[in-house]
Amino acid sequence: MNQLTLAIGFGLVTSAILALGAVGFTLQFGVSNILNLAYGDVMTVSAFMAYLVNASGAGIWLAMCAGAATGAVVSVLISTLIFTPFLRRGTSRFAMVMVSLALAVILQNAIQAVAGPAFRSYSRSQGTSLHLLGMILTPYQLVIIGVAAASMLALHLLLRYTRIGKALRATAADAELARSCGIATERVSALAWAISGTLCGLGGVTLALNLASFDFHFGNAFLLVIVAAAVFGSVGQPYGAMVGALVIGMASELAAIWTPSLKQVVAFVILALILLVRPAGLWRKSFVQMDVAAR
Amino acid sequence: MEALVRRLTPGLALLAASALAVAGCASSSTGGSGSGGSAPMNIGVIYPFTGANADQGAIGMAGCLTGVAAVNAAGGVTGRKFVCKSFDTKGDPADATSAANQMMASASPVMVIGASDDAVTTAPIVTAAGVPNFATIGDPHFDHQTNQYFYRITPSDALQGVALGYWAATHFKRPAAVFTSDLGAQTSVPPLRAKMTALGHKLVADVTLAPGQSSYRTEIAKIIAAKPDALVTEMDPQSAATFLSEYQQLAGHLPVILGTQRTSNSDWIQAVLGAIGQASYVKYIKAITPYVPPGGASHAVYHRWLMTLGGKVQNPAQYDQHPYAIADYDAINITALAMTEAHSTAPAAYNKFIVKVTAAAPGAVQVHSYGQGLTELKAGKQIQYVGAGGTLAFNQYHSAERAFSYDKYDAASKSMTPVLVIPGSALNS
Repeated sequence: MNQLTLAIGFGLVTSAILALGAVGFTLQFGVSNILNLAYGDVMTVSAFMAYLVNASGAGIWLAMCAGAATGAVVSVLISTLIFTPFLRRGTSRFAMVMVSLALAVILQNAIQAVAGPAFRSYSRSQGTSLHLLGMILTPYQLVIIGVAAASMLALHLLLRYTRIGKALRATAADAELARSCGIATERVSALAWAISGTLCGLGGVTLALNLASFDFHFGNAFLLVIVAAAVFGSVGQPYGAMVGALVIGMASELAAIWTPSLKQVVAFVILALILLVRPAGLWRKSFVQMDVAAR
Repeated sequence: MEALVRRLTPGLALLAASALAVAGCASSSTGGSGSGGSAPMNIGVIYPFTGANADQGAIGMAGCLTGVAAVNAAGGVTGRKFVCKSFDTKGDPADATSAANQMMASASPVMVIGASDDAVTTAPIVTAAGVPNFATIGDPHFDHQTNQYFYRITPSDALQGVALGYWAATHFKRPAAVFTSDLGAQTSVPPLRAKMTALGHKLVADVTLAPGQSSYRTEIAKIIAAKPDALVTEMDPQSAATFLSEYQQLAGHLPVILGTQRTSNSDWIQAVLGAIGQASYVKYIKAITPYVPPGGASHAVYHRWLMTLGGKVQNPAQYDQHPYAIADYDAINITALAMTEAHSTAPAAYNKFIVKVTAAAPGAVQVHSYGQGLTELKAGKQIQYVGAGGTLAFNQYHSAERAFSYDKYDAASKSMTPVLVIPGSALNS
């Protein structure tokens, strides 16, 4: 087996999971300007809902849909009931980060109180490993890559070629101006939270599937690398987050060939170097500039 | 929504003030447990109760509650009962420091059990207050410690590493070592390597993993290429579940997995069992752990009190052979006997008798419970407490060394159970 080819295959799986999480995270930031540190815990809630559906006898794919829907609903609720009231009161951006941090702690403890500290695993068959171009992937991993690719393509089409996408970009650029132009910005914002929540839910379920066993704080534990991918590609920029996920996922798997104990460190060193050269991240265009470019 | 929040604000403020007042009253009522009278005496139980190592807290509390039940049933110490008070280190040094300070300030414990890995942070705080601390830390840095208030009732990781190395070298042709990079796992690695070399063997792969990753496939592909027939390992439950599940996927099956005490913890079993399935678990997962003699008079007492904890401890049977829960149980009994012999519950007074009540001495009567020891002490006899985990002889550095056993998974009791005892001569040679 060629270690390099194998690592590239494994890196694709890691990148796919990371892309779902990072794009959802960056989309939330792009529309609301909130660095939502409770994002990882919404991933956990989604994974647990998928577990409940799976444990009741449904297949893993139906469970994944339930997880995605849960991510969307919980995200919209968080935005509507918690973040929006604080923003209306003029809460500063820094204080909003603290609000999201408090929410993360509350969510994590609530999950532990309801589900307990026990580890859970989805009921699924392992499937036969497939050999493709020197890479070894299970059918589940191929589907994870497929789900991520389809989600990214759907998001691209939505943002670029639909009225909703234009409304989203206009709201992200200047919410007040968009409102004066007749765009129902509150509804558009809620839609953005629903889309990002769906990606968050999908990210949570695919991550839990990949981990084999998960507990009440697994989503939070992976938040750092998700934020890193988003920062790498410029926070608020979905395409940048896709590239960031690919680079960090690949870098960590390739680094594992030579230095397994430092695989994540290597990814963060690359991130630090990129930020030194390009402080705003890899992707030049902001969400606003993308809006202009798309016209 | 905002109007609702405005209406509720005065009420919430009043509620918060009331809660603070109640908390203040509660804390003042538990303070000063070391003082005389008939007030209960607090035993500090300091472990992670939340986070990735939360299982340590559950194990420690099971041991404490069992010991307290046994001591209190015998009338307590000089008429005073013991109470277990838990404090959460969260497995983090910063949280461990504040938990230890809070414990010493709010509970005034007469003795403390725990922590495990966090004892590096908590033990100096506990012992600086002149309170005996029975820790379950394996870090070899404590092998030659000289603090008179510190006691270690479980073996050093140095000895755990030697036991792993001995078993791997004598039972496998191509063992590989796979440990996560955290301190708790890494302390076993140098003695494992040294023992393998001393026995003329070498590891076909020696890999250190970053814990808590979403995937280990690249590392696994490298290990599989070395064709190991066994993996000697210590990992946290999450990392182990991901690693072993992916290993099974890529290789088609697992080699023998030779774990440490961590492999015996219920959270580890639960996480890995769900990831690789029961058939693979029974076939491949083995462990080298501190030996607990099954049966015997001391263990019978432990078992009896443990099984009364149904309402307080989830599935008490899982701790029946657990060396760390048993170690904490033994620590409570030792403390109660030392207090009785010292005729004092003051830590500075009874601390001098801790080694004495466990040491073999001419004419000393072997006792297997606090109740039995109390009777003998009242009769003016000298005693040697033999714990549920076997004889506890503290060396000059206050470490009570133990034998090790080779354990297999028992599906009926859902726990690892000893199959063979590793002779001490094999570890010392």
